[in-house]
Amino acid sequence: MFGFLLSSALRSIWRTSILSLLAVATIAVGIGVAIPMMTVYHHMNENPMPEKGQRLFRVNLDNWNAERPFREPNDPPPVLTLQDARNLANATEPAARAGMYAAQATINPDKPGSRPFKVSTRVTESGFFSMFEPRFIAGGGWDVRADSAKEAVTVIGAALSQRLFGTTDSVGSQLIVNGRRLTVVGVLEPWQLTPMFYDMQDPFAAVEDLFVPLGLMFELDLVPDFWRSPFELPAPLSHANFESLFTTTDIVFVQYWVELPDASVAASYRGWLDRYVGEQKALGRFPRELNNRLDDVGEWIEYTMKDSSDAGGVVALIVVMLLFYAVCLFNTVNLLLTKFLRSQGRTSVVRALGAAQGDMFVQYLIEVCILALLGGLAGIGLALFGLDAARNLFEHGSALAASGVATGGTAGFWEMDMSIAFTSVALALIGGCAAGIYPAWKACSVSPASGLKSI
Amino acid sequence: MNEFPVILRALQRNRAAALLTIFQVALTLAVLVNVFASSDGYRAAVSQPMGIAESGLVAVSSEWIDVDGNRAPEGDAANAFHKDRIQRDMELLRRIPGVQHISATNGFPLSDDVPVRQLRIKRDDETSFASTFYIGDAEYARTLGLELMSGRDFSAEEVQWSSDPNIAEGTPITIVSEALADKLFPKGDALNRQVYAGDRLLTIVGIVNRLPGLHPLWSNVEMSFVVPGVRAQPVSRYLLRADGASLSDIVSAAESLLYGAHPQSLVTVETQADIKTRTLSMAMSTVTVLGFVSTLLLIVTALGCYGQTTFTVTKRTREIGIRRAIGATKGQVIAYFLTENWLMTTAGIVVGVFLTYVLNVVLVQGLGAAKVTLAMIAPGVLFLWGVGLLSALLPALRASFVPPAMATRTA
Repeated sequence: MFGFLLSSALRSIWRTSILSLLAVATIAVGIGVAIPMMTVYHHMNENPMPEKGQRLFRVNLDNWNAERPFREPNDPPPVLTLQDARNLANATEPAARAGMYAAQATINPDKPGSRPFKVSTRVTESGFFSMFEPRFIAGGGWDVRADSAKEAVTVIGAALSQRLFGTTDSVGSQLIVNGRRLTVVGVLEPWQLTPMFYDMQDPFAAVEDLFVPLGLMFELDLVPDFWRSPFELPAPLSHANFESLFTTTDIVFVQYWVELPDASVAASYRGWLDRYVGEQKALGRFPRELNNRLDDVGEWIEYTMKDSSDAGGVVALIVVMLLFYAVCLFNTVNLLLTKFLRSQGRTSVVRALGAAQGDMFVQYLIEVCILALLGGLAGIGLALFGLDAARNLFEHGSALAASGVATGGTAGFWEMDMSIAFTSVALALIGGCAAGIYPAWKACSVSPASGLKSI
Repeated sequence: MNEFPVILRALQRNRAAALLTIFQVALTLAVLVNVFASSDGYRAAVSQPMGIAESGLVAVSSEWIDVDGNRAPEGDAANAFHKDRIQRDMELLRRIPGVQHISATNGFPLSDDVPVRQLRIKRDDETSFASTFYIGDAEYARTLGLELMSGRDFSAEEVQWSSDPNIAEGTPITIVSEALADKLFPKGDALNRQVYAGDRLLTIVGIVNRLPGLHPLWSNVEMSFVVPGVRAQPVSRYLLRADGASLSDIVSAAESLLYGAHPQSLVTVETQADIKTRTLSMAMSTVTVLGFVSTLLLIVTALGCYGQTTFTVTKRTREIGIRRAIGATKGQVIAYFLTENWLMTTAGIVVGVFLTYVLNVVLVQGLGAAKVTLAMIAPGVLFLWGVGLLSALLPALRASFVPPAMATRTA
């Protein structure tokens, strides 16, 4: 029976091929427009470390001033003071830990004729490499000893290595960062992180090309891209007072991550953090109520995305795109009504020959589902095209914005994966069938007698 | 128009089909008007005259980088070292053919990379005015082509060199943009009045018509102030004013001259127009995407109206025949379908205006879109009426060709 209904449906599609094609096209356009934005949103909220991320925690303490929170309603600043980061590092022994921040550094190529250029830089500690496990082409991260000895070492990305040394195996080579010579100890494979969870100031940002030890921050004069002070500074920041301001005041800028092997360790670490803030309160710091955060990677992404203006913008665009899809579906209903009206005579004959109303309804629904499926598949094709176009458009923009700054790509944002493809087809099927129910019901509720007369 | 009741009854019979069109039109209006509202600010920012003749301006940045064997001296000697370096830089740049004026400054208009300061009338006033903070020398106004509305320009003696990034010890005077002057002193007596920038008390000696600030999309973009001075610092910035000569020649000449002078420094040269384009690039990409979606949306909606009218005409072929047989003219048949379509579009628009405001709430939060006003809705309404009528025209014409003999067919 189903086979017969299926073949009838296929024949019916073939008969009204133009209207069928239009219906497929309308659904496809709707899907093709809605999916690219959803893809971006999907990648923004992805957890790049689903397994290990449950053992990695971002630490935040609330050392903001008593008058108002860092951000409403009562969010602590997302970064620590250098003083607290050092205290945390010295006092406890988690499995691994790292303080870090983003900065811009200038590289002077050691070749005659080549000009200096800026690179996004991650200023961090050895724990970064053991916690986030980036893959190395050559060499590896520096070790704890290098942290404490303030060794002049660096890890660079494959692209930067290629640009400076013409090879990806540049371990042992030296490069001049902000005027100081650093020795390359490791070269990273191209690393795409979407979102860039360990930072999240800009979830769209590309992974840095240059990693230098946190201990060198003042020697290399690496002013953080993001820093805030809960109190008015005694003097505006300048090259001369960079070190004194960032070590003696309550300026926050260190993003602090720890690895805690299981829940009980995490619980005791949480307790220790509370006690630490208590001790500091006794010293007259931390005027606000206890408001520590210890978020694993998943929680951290969710927490930061909640207030991200990027995410808000993307959500707003998704709303617009889904409304567009809704308009497309209204249109599909129209097309299907016309289509089924055209085959009214035929329906009446089949009904007069004894087909049940329910069977006709099922036949029409099968027909609609086939159209919706085709629309969904064609929509994926259009979406791929749209993602490519959007990528060109936006990356051209950000490439302009970063002119002079060497960055990796954000290609990951614009890639469709299986779950998105599945969502597209599901969206097409649900939307298409919803659009088809009324026309199908309308078409098979015509009484055979009146239908026959109109032939 | 005595056909109104007939049309209404006919529409009532085909409630479902009519509702479809109404919702489609409603959603389309809501999306269109909101897309327009969100991109309106961007477009205005792009086309807005910034009060400076952007076309002949070149922005030069040069950052001194210490390299082993070639280090700037430390402490007090640093000031003299950088002063000397900047003076020589400016001398080099001044000699490029086509360059008319040159000024040292701390940042470029609309670059999203200039400091902002809170200005207050009294030191501890609650209300403050966030304004873009520029530092310029005696050539600054001339280089930017600022029009002095009242007061005077800086004199060369007032321009002091300082290693302090804010020229805190400089001459306590300032030139402000007219927008800022009006905000600070609404009575229009800003000249020679005093204003606090942090702890510094500055006397307003000049008012210029316009001086764009930090970012084209910033609400305070028109509020800026300039204090006299030159920063003797590792990072130095210059603005060049060129006459008709090709800007790209000047850009490459400036680049090679500065690199030639000190190869290890980081030199960036671009036109002021490029800076604005770069600052706005993300917004412009969004506008492009939204514009594309709106165009597609209109096409889909037009197809929908076309399809709906075709559907009605097909369904009522016999009725049309009857009407023609009892005396309706072709014109009346066309008028009938166009009126029917117009009624549906209008109903859609009424619902749509409501939806527009609802969607606007979402978008104002998400995209920072502008609040929708009636002035924005009105063109959208007219446009949709036009689109609706145009797309119904073809099927309506086809209906008018239904022969009266159709009435004889039994149904």
